[in-house]
Amino acid sequence: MPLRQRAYATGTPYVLTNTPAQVQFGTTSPIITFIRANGKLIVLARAVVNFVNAVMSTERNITLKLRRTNHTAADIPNSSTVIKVGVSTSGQSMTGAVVELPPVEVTLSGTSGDVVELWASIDSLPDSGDIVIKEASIVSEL
Amino acid sequence: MPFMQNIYAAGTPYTLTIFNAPVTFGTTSPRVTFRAANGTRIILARVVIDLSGAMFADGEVISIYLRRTNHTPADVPNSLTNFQLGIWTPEQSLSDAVVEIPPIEYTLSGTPGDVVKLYASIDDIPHDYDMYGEVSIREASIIVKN
Repeated sequence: MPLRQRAYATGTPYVLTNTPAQVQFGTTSPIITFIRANGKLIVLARAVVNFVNAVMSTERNITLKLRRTNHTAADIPNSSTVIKVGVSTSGQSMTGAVVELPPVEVTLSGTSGDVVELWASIDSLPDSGDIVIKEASIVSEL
Repeated sequence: MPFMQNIYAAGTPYTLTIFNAPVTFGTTSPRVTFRAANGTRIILARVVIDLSGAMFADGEVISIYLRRTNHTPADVPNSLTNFQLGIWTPEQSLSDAVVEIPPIEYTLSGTPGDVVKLYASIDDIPHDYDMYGEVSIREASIIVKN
């Protein structure tokens, strides 16, 4: 399975917000624009979540998913994953999390140029500090 | 090339026990049945482990692997992964863990209908003196390709 469409994020990491939104990096964001119009393609996505002096008095849930943002925008079925983050009262550093999204089979819309993006959110912001996505990638067949 | 089969678990999560057992969800469990008799297939499997409700006095180890449960049952070679947990402290609760088992090339048994399931266990149940909890698998998937 050659992975011929690839997006590896670069630049300033993305700070999570409590609104589902595209994961945007400073230079290159994890986005794929599909060349083909029809067919089914395997898509693999991955993110590294880091905690920057994050203080959380209660657990939080981080949601990551893939979303097609054109040609009738819609979340990609089965791509969503929810990661529960533990309590951190001291602001001491927490171990980052490597999160592979479930592998998915994407059915193209019938029009070339489908845009698929990595989206993320947290259900409630940390009491202080930030939670960032420091690495992200999406890879797919052509 | 599309997946041949893709199974995404659904329903009530699976609570780990000290026994090696199939990961069973309330609605759809991570298992595949192969129609073909011969050949090889690539298998990818992934779980999300919920550790938030557990107390640990000692580091425990979670084991996850694939097992063919018919046609001479056997663990799928090279599929085992062991994941060590830290000791729980009152200052922090544990975050979820995303665990992928090693990608596997599975050789079919020669008889149609091989059933391969995701198995898991923990070497000791969570406990810390009189405090207890659970470790569960909240998401699971098995993906198969030619």
